[in-house]
Formats: sequence, structure tokens, C-alpha cells
Amino acid sequence: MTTSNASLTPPEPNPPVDKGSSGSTNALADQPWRGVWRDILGGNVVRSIVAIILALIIGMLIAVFTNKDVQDTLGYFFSRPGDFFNAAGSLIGDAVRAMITGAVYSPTRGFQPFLSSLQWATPLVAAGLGLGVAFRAGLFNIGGQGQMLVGALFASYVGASWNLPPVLHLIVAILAAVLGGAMWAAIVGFLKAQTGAHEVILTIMFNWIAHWGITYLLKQPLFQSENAPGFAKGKAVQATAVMPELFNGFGLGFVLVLLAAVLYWWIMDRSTVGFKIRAVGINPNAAKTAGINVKTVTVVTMAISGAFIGLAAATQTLEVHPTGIEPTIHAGIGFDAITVALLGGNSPVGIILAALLFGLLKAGSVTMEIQAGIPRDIIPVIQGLIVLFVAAPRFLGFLPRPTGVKIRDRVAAGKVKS
Amino acid sequence: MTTTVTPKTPATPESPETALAPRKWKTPILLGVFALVSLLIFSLRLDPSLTTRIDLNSRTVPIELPPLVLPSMLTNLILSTLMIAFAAYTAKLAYDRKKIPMWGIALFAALWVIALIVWVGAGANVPFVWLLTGTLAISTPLVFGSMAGLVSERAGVVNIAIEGQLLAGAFASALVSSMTGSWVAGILAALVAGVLVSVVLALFSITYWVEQVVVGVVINMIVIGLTSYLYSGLMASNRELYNSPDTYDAWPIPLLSSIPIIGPVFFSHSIITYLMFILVPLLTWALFNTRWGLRTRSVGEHPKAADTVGINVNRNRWFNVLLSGAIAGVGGSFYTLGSVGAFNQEVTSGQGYIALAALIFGRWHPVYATLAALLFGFASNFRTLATQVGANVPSELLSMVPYIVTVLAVIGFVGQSRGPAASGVPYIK
Repeated sequence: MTTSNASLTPPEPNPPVDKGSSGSTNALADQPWRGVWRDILGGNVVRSIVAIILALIIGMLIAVFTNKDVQDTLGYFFSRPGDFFNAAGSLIGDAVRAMITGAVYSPTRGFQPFLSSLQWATPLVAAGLGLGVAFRAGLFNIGGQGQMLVGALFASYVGASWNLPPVLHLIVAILAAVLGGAMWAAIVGFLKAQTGAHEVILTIMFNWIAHWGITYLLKQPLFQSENAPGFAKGKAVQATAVMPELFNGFGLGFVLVLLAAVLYWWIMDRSTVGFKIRAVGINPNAAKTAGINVKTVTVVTMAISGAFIGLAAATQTLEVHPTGIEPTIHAGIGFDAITVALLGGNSPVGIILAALLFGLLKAGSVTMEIQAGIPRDIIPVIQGLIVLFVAAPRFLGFLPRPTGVKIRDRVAAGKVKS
Repeated sequence: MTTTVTPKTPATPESPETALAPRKWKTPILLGVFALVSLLIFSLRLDPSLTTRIDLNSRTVPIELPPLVLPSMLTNLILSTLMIAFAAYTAKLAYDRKKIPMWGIALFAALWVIALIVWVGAGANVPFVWLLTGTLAISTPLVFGSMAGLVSERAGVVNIAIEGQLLAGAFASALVSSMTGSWVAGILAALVAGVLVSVVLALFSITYWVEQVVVGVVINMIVIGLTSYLYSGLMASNRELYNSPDTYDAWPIPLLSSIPIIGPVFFSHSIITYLMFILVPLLTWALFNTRWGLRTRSVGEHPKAADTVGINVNRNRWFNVLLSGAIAGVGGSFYTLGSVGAFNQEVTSGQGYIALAALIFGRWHPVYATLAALLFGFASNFRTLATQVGANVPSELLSMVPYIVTVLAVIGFVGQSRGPAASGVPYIK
């Protein structure tokens, strides 16, 4: 478990540059667009798309071969193979149709399903950004569950028990969630910085501590709903702290997480803190030599990571479940966010797109289960496979290796030539 | 200004000793805190008139023992005094820069746990034998999980996927045992399922160099999804055929099992617990006394050196990761064939992560890891007891204790927990 920090960053998707073909700058000047097709086919976008398609195919195969109707046709496959393909085809057709009506557009409800996909994606974006911060510093924050729980408790307390004017109340409640998540994560960062204990094991333990702690606290009069004696359920959030619906089921939450993505971009790419985080992530020893206080950066990174995850808790508490939180409020988002950040390559746009994809899958899987009879538990399998394929560049070895030359340099070289 | 302030480090008699190692106060402080908790909460907050009745009988033992009736407050006061004395003794040892004996800490822990039992059981009946028997049963899959983590991590592959391996074992054993009507087939299926999960782990972490923690987390996600999917798609529709497994029988060992206390605790379990009794000593011996063990440890500590002397690093890692899957798979069968008798979604409920914690707590040593797993099992069983006797302490707070203890262990209160040096790093020639 004592891996060095640097090795905890997700592996660089690009394999080592092939020296022979990347060529010297002269070769670039002669033929600026040489090998560009390799960059496109071997690039991250194509790689991700191939991984997604591959995972979807495997998911479909699992669905086909576990389906009872299809299994029946397998019994006499060699006498009438057509039946098998008909049954499989109709199952896949049903599944795809159900996914689309559930996640994008349905003839009866218009684009309402797409809005619900955005709803599913909302906490994933926020938590994915949180994971991204940690990954950039070479930290692996599996503590999303605990951080969300603490954030949700804070938001629920402020939202239910404080009396504040309308807009201010919502802002304070959101900030409380952010603070809660940041605090819980910062404790782990502090312990890691001070003692060198591994953050993976610490965050797992803190998830459980938060789980039992919040289960206990939600049964105390300070937090417990009056309507659920004996159950761990929080008080309903006051109307002034509920996130408003902007139109037809599309809430403020999604706008907030988009703003958070902009903030993420600014923190990571423009601020000093972000520079330090990235420096520590690339090489902690070099960062230390350069005068960066690695311990402080560890604590700050975890705090920022937890703050984004706290925002995910805020949308869950103040938008999705305003009637009162339960210890299951995290809904596995902390773990899903790992896959979001990995698929999104820790970039803000990538994280939004990855969260959107998983949001679509989640929203679609609900109707898929009802209409095509495929249990929605297939979605985490597909999700996991996508990440596995994206994280293993060597697995998709049939894709060409990128040349490692930046498009910007190609354009510049082309200009010099002309 | 600064000159008027007294120097921060006044010259003390100790100053010539600064060349010596710094004194380590962590353990005495921790023991002191625990002793104070025992004194202030377990002892002084009790009603002096209460007694704790400790029942030493078990249904399987023909001999009837009289229950132990202890005056709760007095017992705990005595225990607390002993603990405070030991904490003071460790402080003295720390001052003299002497090593604090491990057995002493173990004894302290035992006293503290007894005080806890006496406190929770004040005014009630504590089924002591049940408490220990249950502990061993609950710990069994945890021990298997820890041993799975051990063989993998000692070879340098971080195994977060223990949860997935256990769950795959639990699922496969329930399915196959139901379909064949034989628990032996169930165990074999669990073994195969664990190995299959390991193939994915090994392939992606050893051969494709993917970050091992990421692979582990993702594998857990996939296995949870897949087993839940198959459960709702397959098992739930036809319980009779797919989810009513043949469970293990308890095999009380003749004679030995009728010894009071010891008999039911150690000698009337199912085959899987006996397997555990064999597995742990076997692994301890193999790890430190065989060629496989030496190779495994060298590959985990310094793969390059191992490679230089002709050990095939990645082959050893592959073998160990597959072995890890086999061990965890067999352990996972306990969740279905050993207890409930049916598979349920996420039946392992995060126990794989606890097994991992036990491994780290136990400093990657088979025996210590087993003890740590037993501690988690005890905590879990004790929570049940506390709920049953209606203790005045909420069961949620008791549930937090093992995790807090693990955190304390990991941050170095019980000595630094340092894993194999090359664990988590893919070996790339």
C-alpha cells in the first residue's frame, strides 16, 4: 500500500513516444501533417469512444445470454439459428428503445427524460471534479461516501434548523455542505501529511465512521425528522433552502455544478494552488526541492476535493431529497465519481461529458428495467468496463500509437513552411 | 524583542542526551486515554448495585458450569486500576527509551475488552461462549480475505479487489451449490470464481500496468453490478433452482467439542472455519520458510533485485494474485453456504475492505492480520450483543470503534505499519 504518490496518478494514456516516427523538428517542418491520422485514431477521444462501444457490446452480450427468451432459443440453436438472432435482436432493440425513451426523448414526454438524465449527472459532475483534484495531486480519494454524508448532514442541519431569508438560506446551506465535505476530507489529508498513512485505507475507514456516525446523529432530536421516530432520517429542509426548479424538472443544481467545473478549471490551470497540486502530483520529490510544502498541499488538495464532493451532497440534500436525508443519501456517487474522473481524464470538460454519459445510462436503465426486463445493475458493469479499458492503453493495443506531436506545433510548423 | 523572551529550549539536564533517539510517547498516551475511558465511563458511570452475569454454558456442552456473577463497578475499577498502572509503566519505558512489549499491549487490550463487556452487560446476562463462537464465525471470511490480500500484496500487487473476490465466491457457491445440491461443488465454484476475478486483476495490473488501486475499485464495482444483475435476472425468478444452496454442516469434533468453553468456541464449526485453522499457520510457515515465500517477499520488496537473480517477477505475481483469488473465493462461500443459506445483493457489504484494513492493521503478517480480523469480528458480534441486552450505549457508536482503532493503528500509534516496498508498482522491464 505504500506506493509513491506519483504512481497513484492515473496512468498516462499515451504510451511512450515512438522516437523513430515522431522525428526531429526538421522532419516536422518538412511534413507537418505526417502521422496526424495516428494522433486522431490513437488519441484520447477515439480511445474513449472505442472503450465505451466495447463496454456496451459486452454489456449487451451479458444481457442477451442471461435473458430467458434468448436462452430458450439456444436449446435448438443448430436447427434454427434464426430464432436466436431474432430473440437477441428484439431484446437489444427493446433495450435501446427503452434507453432512449428513458434518457433522451420520449414521444409522450418530449425531452423531459433528457432533463432527468441531467439530474442524474449533476452530483456526478461535482463529485467527479472532486476526484479529479485529488488525482491531479496523485491522491486517491475513495472517501467520497463519507464526505458526502458529512456534507449532507451539514446542509440538512442548516437547511432545516436555521431561519434565514430565502436566497441567503440556500447559499448558506450549500456552503455548509461544501464545508462539511472539505472538513471530513481535510482530516484525512492532515493525517496522511503528518503520519504518512495511506489515504486509501484512511478514506475507507472514514467512510465507515461517517456512515455509523451519521446513522447515530440522524436519530438524535437535533437532526431527526419528527415524522420518523426510531429511523435515521433527517428533518425536511425548509422551503427557503430548497434549490429552485428553473423549468420543468431542471433544477439549479446542474447550473451550479457547471459553474463548479469552471471554478475547477480556474483552480487547476490558473491558480498557484493548482500549480502546486499538479507539481506534487507529477513528482512530489521535485516539488519539495522546488520549495513547495508537500504536506500543506496534501491537506489543501484533500480539502478542495472534499469541497467539490460536498457540493454533490448539497444537490442531493437540497434538490433531490429535500424531505429529509437518510444514511443512503450518498447513493454510491462517491464511487461512481472515481469512474467519472478517470473517464474524463481529470479535465473539466471530460468530467462533464463522462458524468453526462453515466447520467444518461442511469436514467435510461430505469426504463430499460421496466420495458425490456433487463435489470439496471448491468449499468455499473458497463461503467466499470469503460474505465478499465480507458485506463489500460495497452489493452486497446490495436489502436495506433499517437506520435506525441501537438496539433499546435503542427500548425506552427505548417505556417513556417508556407 | 526576541532577546527579552526566555529561550524556547532552556538548558536542561537532558540536553547532552540530544544525540539519543527521541522518546516515543504515542503508545503510552494512547494507552492512557483508553485506561481513562475505562475508568471514567466503564467504571464510574455504573450503578454500584449492578452485577454482570457471565454465562459460560453452551447448548452443545453437556457439562453445566455455574455463571460468573461479577459486581460490575468493582470489577471495572480493579481492571481500570491495572490498566492505568500498565499505562504508567509504558510511560516509564518510553522515558527510558525502552521497547514496549507486544504481549503487554495485547494483555492491556484484553483487559479493556473485558471491562467493556462488563460495562455493557451490567445488570444483564452475557452469553460469553456465544460471543466468542460468533466472533470466530464472523471473522472467518475476513481472515480468508486478509490472507488473500496478504499473498497478493506480499508479491507487490495491491489487492483492493478482495471485496469483489469474496462476493464472486459467495455468488458462485450459492448458484452451483443450489444447482448441484452439494456444498463441495459450491466451494469449488467459489474457488474458480475468485480465480476468475483475479485473472482480471492480474491481467490489468501486472500485464497492462494499470494503477492497481483503480483496477481493484473498478473490479469491485463490476462484480457488485454483475452479481446483483444475475441475482435479479436469474436467481430471484427461480429461487428453488438457483438460490437455495446446500449449506455446510457444523462438524463438531468428537470429545474435543464437549470441553466447556473451549469446545464450542474452537471445535464445533463448519469445514470452512477448520480450513482457516489450517490456512493461517500454513501461510505463515510457507511465507517465511519456503522457496515460494522467499520469492514472493523478494518480488514484493525489490522486484529488480529478484529479477537479477533469475526470479520471474511477473510470473510469481500472476501466481500469487490467482492464489489470492482462490483463497478469497473459498472464504466468500461462507457468506452463502455458511450462514444465511442464500445469496443476496451485495451480501458481503464492504467486508472485503475490512479484510484489507485487517491486513494493514496486522502489518502484512498472517498471524497479526488474523488477530486484527478477529478483532473486527468481535466488534461486529459485540454490537449484536449490545443491542440484545439493551445497553445504554448506542450500537452505532460501538460500530465505529473498530474503524477508529484501525485509523489509530494506521497513523502509527501501534508502530508504523509499512507494507511491502514495491507494492502497487508494476514491474516494467
